[in-house]
Amino acid sequence: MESRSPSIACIGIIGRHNNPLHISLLPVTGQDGQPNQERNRLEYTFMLNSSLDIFEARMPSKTVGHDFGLLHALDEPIALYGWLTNTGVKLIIVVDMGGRTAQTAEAGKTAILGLRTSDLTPAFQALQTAYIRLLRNPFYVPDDHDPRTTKLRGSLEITSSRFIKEVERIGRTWYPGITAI
Amino acid sequence: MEAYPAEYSAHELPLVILSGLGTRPDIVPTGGQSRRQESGARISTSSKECSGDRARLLLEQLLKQDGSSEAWSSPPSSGPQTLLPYRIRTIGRNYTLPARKAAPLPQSPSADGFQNQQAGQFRSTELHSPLSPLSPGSPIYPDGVFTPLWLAKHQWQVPAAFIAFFELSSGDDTAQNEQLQIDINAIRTALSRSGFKTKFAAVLLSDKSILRTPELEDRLSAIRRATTLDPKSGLFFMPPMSSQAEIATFVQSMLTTLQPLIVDYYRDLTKHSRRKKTRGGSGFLTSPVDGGAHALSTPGWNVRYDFKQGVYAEFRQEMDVAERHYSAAIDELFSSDGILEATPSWSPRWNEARLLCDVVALRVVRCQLWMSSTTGATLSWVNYRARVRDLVDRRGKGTQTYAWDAWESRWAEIMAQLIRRAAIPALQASDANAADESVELARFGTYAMPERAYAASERIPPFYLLHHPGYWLRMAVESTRARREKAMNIPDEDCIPPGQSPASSVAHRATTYDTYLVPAPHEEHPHAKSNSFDHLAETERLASAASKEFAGRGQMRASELLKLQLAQLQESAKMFEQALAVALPVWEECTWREDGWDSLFVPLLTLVQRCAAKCGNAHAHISATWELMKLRPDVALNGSTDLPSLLALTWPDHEEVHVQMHDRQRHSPIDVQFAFRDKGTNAGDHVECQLSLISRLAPYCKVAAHRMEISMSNGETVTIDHEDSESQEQQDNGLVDLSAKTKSTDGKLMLHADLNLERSHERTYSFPFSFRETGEVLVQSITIWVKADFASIEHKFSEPQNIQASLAYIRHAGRIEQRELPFTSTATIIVRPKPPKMQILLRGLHDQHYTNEHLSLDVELVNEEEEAVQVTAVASFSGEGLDLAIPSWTGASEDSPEGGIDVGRINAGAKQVANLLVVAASGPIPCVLTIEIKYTLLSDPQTPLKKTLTTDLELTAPFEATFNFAPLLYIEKWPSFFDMSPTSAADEPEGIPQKWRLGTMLHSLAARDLTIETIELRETSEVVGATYSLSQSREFASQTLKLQGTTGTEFDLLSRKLSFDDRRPTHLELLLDIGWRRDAESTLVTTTLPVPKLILPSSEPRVLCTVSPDAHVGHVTVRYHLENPSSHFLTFGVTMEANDDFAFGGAKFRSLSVAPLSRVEFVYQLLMHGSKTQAGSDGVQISPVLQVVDSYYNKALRVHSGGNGVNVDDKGRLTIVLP
Repeated sequence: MESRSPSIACIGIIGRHNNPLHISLLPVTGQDGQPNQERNRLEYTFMLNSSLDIFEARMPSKTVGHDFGLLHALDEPIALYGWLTNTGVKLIIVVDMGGRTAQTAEAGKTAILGLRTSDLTPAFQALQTAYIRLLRNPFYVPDDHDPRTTKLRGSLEITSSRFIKEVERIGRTWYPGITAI
Repeated sequence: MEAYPAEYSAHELPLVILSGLGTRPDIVPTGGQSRRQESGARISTSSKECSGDRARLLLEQLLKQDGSSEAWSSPPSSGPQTLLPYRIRTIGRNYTLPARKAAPLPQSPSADGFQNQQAGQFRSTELHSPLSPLSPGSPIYPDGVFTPLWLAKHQWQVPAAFIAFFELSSGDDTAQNEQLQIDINAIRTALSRSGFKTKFAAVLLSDKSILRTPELEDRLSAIRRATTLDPKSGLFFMPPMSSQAEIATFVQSMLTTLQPLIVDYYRDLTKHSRRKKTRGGSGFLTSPVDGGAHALSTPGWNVRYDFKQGVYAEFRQEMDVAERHYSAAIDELFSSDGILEATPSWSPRWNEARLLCDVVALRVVRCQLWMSSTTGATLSWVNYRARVRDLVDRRGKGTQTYAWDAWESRWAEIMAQLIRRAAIPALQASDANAADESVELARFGTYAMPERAYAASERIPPFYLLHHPGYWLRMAVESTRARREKAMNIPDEDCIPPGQSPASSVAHRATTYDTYLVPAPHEEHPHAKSNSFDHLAETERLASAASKEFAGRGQMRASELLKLQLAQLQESAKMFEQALAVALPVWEECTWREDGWDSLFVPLLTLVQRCAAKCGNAHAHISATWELMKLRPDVALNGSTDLPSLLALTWPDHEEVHVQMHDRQRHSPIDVQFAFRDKGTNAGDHVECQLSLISRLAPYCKVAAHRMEISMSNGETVTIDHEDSESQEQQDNGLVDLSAKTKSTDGKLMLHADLNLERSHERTYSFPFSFRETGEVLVQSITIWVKADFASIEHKFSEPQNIQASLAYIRHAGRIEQRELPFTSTATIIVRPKPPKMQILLRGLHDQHYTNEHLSLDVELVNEEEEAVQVTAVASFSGEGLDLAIPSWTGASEDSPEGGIDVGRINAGAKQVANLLVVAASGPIPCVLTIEIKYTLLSDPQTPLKKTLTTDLELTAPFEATFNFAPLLYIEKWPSFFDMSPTSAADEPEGIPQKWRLGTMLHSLAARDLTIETIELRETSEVVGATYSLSQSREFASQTLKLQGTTGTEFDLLSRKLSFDDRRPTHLELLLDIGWRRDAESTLVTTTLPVPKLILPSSEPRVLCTVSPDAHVGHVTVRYHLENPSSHFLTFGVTMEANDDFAFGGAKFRSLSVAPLSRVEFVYQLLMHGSKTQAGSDGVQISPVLQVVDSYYNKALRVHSGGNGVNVDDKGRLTIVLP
């Protein structure tokens, strides 16, 4: 059996009022880096939604820092990590411990050895940068993506293709031990 | 854990049997000791059981030491003196121990027995435990590895300690003593005969203490001698005890004494097993049990011994040791020649070994959790799963069977159960969230931090952090669901019971289906007739347990998700009632609606909608459809174009249903928005309101409200009823103006409009509304009623953010546009009081007002109200924060308050004038004149209305004065120094009379001409030591002071000291009163200006110059008067300077001596030179310079004007003006 290494399975951007802003799914990849198994969007939506409980539980006592670290591990391969921006937007990364084929023997070990919480920090930082870049876009009005303030109706999700592409790029690029994305 | 025999999963506690304290019916051994009646040694005593309160209390205290319901974790304070938890069993007086050795095989004369007679004889010498695989009567004979009976034996039958209780009464000595000795000895004998090394202790319950009855001492020693019991650990004497605490202490000390013996008991057993293991299985292998090939292999024996040692260690509560032995047992089972590898997988022994292996693995995890090794436990769990998966894949029927899913589900559930039993503090559901202050604790509700051994390494797979049971149960749920799916896929031919199916198919099944702890395929298939396993019930059980775990830790979303998944499963199995029951609470409480997780909420809504339709719950069906119509109209209406037709289709004949909804609980496909066009209004005024109805449906979907109601916080309501009107003009922008139809009735506004949203998806209704009472009014709720077939739906919007509109239609330049309103709270309006409509006009004010002026103002009150009013007016006048004279009204009655007047009734449209007199302040300060009128409408005398007029008056001084003070010649003769009459009256002034002149100049500061009537001087205070008289030099005629003009007058002042001896100067303080008027008509105003303080020196010499023109042209006589009012003889040098303008006759220089209190006059005749002889327009001016120097002081005296025709300017230059 080929050895597998961790990859990002899903990235969720959740708004201040716990509303989903964007969900990117990254497929399971095989030997050649080609997707060989799509992920079930509903299943991952469930996961992201249920991790909001943990944000809520920890929020009152969390005073310093954005990094919520490991939120919970649902199964042997699936673990969710969280990050909170100071505007209350939550970034959630779902890591699949065997989401891709290990390119090197070293990478194969991480699936067994596990992850440091700091392994996810570059990904979160890159996501936050991407989100800040989105906020700097004058056509993106954050209040229009907030169910409490929006005057628009319909989906509140982020539609900026540039942002979505960036999120997907971060999801594809990340590997344990990467220093910057 | 329930799938395994209870003995296997039970936690081991040292068994203590209590004899003679009665039996407890509630403690019944669960083991199957009744299954085998192989009786061993029988313990029987004839003493009667202990009874009474003491025995009961003692039993209670002993049972408190029973640890079978304790948490499976080490107690928090594990000191050396901690008592072990025990399993306590109470028996009566009789007890039968199980046989230690199997009974020898009956020497039956059967052929088999005969042939193996030798062997039989051999066996009979080497008897084994009845549960050993070597004993033919054993259930695992000949090659089974283990039986739970063995555990039952140790858990319930063979005690580590046997404690017998006897009563010892002080009365009858010998008979009781003997009986006791016999009984104790009988027990001891029975125990030793049984072969078990059970510790024995006897407790004597005395009714008297030894101190009271010393003979007891002898009896005790007699018993001790007779029974040879160890006085310390074998025989306990219990004197009478009254309190529970005393008994508890006694029990504690007794068990503490027995504890090492009990531990030793299990240690001995461990030693025995270890010895047998090290001796190796060779002895058994060689022993020719019938059919050596079937005998248990060496690894099998090793497993037995390791497991037994583990169990014994667990009895001793040495969990680390137990874990080591259990791990060794697992390794032994999995080893290449282990049972799992060596036994053929079709053999029942293989499944038995799997069962044992599962149990051992369970015990490994339990031991690790016991030692709070959470990550280690997870690791063991994961590793064991991987091992078994590998084993089942290689040697079993593979992991694609339902049995494997069942095993995975069981294995996950076991973990959840173990974690729950272990009561790990980090994973406890926190009942009080407030207590969790620190970050660590809050984090811990979800998963435990790794223990020290793993915390050192910075990398750890996230799953290895032990999560709370909810997560494990969730995994169990998923496996159970997978199991159901696989069971559903069992082909039909395998679902027929074996009795009805061909043998080949049954044989095929045996090789295909794994039935390890699961039913056979024909019983497994959910739809098979012979189904014996309810997957859905199992899923529901696990899911609700998981959901409870999540909910207990505040993870409501996770809990709801599990419920939704369960409901979906139940729906798919057509269990609509159950699915609806599970989904309804989620539907009511979930956060997805509010947070916009439509992808989760839509499946829930569709589920509720479908299930409610199936279950006949029209109410829920309509509500869910209504909500779903907003999110997914296509799904909600399921092909219909509107709600009525869908309902008619779903519920062909249904009675009327009324569904009430609230925007906090339900979505609505119709949104309402409301805006007041203004932020504030006045009571009684009309304000425009705009109410919008917005349909969120797809264009082809129709929806029609039949009624709307707006209710405001002040209790007023606006109702709009639907009215079908084809002719109603439909504007493109959807604005419907209802102002023409507005009819207001007592707090309720009833309107009619077309509320159909068919043609336009958004409509705005505009209507005017007026408030009667003041204050803040907000729209509390807007309710819409929709009628659909048999159902009437009422949806109430009360959340402000759901009601407030941000846009409003505004008529602008003939068009109607939508504009953003400049305020946010559009559903709130501030109603201000009705504004007063009386007008106050003030007449008679001038551009400029002067100090001290009297103002006569006409106040005109105009009634612009629609009816007559009753008015009172009050005026006040103040400046610089000071209250000045209160203005007075002409004609004000005596009893009216100061500054007030009762104006009386003014008819509608009429006006009335009142005259107000105001006296201005005497200083130039800014003043404020306030006129306040209070009035009531004749129709409403209770509501006072008020209007205030405030006018700023800037007061200015009308003029300023400059003063000029100079000496003047007193023409009369001075009194003679020698002529003093001592007889003169005392108050007759005797000083030298001196004359002075005060010149006054007024400069106009006013912006207009003023008429000066009088200018008068007035003294303000008494003058001390002098008399004086004032006279105006010439009569002052009334004159007009022009703009910036100047006028003036002069006053003569004659002063005389009362006493000659008084040499002090006289001080004089005067005021100047100026009488003036604005114009001829206005009243005379007196403005008083202060005169600077005048100082009249009375003893200074002075020179005064007078002139008297001669008859000859060009001749003038100038007289100088040198006065010496002092009492000194003064000598002056007088020099007349030559001048180009004139020639003079007189001494050029002379020295002059002046006696005290006298004056000298000297005269110069002046003759003008040529040009000066001709008088100009303003006469001839010459400036003779006379220097008068005091010879003694060498001080020049200034020459003053002594009368008319001589002027002295500021520099002291004297000018004589000749006409």
